[in-house]
Amino acid sequence: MSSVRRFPVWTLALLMVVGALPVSSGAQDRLTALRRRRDAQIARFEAAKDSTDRAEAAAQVVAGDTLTASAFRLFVPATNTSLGQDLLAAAESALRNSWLRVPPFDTTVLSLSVETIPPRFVRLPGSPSSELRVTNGSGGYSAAQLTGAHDADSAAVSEMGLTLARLSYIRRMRSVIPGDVFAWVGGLPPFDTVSADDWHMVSRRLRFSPSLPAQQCLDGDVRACRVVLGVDSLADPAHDAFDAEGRRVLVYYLLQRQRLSGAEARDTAAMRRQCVDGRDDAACERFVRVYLVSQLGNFGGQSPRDSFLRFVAVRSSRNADSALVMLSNRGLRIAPRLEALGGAPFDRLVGEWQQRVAGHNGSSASVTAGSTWAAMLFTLLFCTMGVLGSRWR
Amino acid sequence: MLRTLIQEQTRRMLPVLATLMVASMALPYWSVRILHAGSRVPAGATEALMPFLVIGPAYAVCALILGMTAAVSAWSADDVGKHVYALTLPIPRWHYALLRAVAGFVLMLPVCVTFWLATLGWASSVEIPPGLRAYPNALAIRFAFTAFMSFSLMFWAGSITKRTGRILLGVLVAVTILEVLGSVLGLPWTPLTLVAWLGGKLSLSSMILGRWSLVDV
Repeated sequence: MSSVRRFPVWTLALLMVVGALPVSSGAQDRLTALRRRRDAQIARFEAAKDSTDRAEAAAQVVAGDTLTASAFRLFVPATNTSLGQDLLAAAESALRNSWLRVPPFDTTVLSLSVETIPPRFVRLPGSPSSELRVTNGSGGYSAAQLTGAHDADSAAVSEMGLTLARLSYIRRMRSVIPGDVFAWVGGLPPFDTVSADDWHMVSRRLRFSPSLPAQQCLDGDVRACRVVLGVDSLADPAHDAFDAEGRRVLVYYLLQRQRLSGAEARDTAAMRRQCVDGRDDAACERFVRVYLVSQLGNFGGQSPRDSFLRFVAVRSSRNADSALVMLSNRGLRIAPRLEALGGAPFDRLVGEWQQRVAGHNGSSASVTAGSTWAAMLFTLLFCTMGVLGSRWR
Repeated sequence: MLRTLIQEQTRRMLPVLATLMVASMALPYWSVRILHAGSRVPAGATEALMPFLVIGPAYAVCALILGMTAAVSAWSADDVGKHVYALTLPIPRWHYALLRAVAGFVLMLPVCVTFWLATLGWASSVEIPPGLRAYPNALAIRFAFTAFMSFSLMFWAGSITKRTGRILLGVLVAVTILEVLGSVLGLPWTPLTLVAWLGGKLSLSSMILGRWSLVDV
């Protein structure tokens, strides 16, 4: 019985396999045909798309142009080609000339540049209908699209050029500099010159810093300068970087600046009373350890690092671009990178920088004998001319 | 005669002189006001330098106004009288002009001296933070010479004839055009940069454009 029942099953299975062969072959053919048809449709669609794209591109070419000048690429409408050229010239001029004289990156521009990672429109002052659309460019450079700038006057063009230069430069810096170097330079690029005002500012920062390394650096201690520049660190900054008065000053000013509120303010109030008002150094140190330890790595602020970087770049006769390339050498700590940039042992670079800073320790509030004599001669000259003036002859 | 001229110019300048006198006493106070507030922390040096940003230009403006007003008032009486009085006087004309100039300087002196005394007084009334110094004398010298220079320039401008004035105006317009052209074409030398360079070479710019700060490093 079982053999009888088993037979048809095998037979049927065999018949089904044999019978299925032509059926399967037919389905495969249909599938292949469908695929071919789909591919053909896709090809036709892509051809149509390409054709449309080409037509659109052709329309774009007719409607606008891409202007390129060194670091800048700018898409401009055909009606605004001359304005685009002016804008690029202004951007280049800003990068070449004004760059060093204007305050480098104010907070607005810097935050703006950080936000311009996705394309966005930048509406510029001076020409309400003008917009720069900043987009990702190739090679780390910015590209920008200029729209609606038909009424841009020369001041607006200069402003837009400067903005373009800033955005381009910051973007490029962000794309080239490794994160640790970027953090070390504090988001500021190396500039090609250091003016007397900058040296004065660094000198003042170090002089008025409550930290010991800053003051010792100004007095000529190269090891302290290394700490100030953030290439060396102290084992216990809360204790070693300040004397008792310095800690008190630090707590006072940082609390003034931070303006804590709520529970944090209540928690710190007692400690503040003990430290600032009660002159209890242990309380000050405790406070610094608890609340300010994360802020202790940057003695004297960012300006010493910035000026050192610029000093090294100038000393090596490199422009800002070359300095960026040298600093982007990954795998090394910051000091060897700066050493390579400056072409001299790091401590020698620090020593030279320190001497320049200390050399600008004087005040410009005093009046020199030369300027007094010049003012007297000026006064005398014009008074004499006034007394013997033609009206009285 | 000098006395008469001084009295006459004083009468004309009195409101401005009084205002400038008050300003010259008050401005130095604003330079050290932050130190008067009784900072609990002695090393308030950074804060002590901050008033320079606001008060510094105010000192310069005050000195310039003083000089210009004195110069304008020196010639205003003669301009009103068409110079008839001056021409009828039995003295050489240069002598008369010299008296006018001297009278102008005499009128400026009280304000300058008041400013000097005020800077000395306010600077000595506060405890200067460590690392800083007070510069009352330097500031007073800067104030006085800026006033004198602006006076002499305006005094000379007031003494020139209309024809010379027109020529000067033409020169001024030409210089402005050159300046604009220089900026547009990106020329390295424009009249203003030349003047700034010359001023720097002659140490004049440091007198006017220097740091007008009562308290500094």
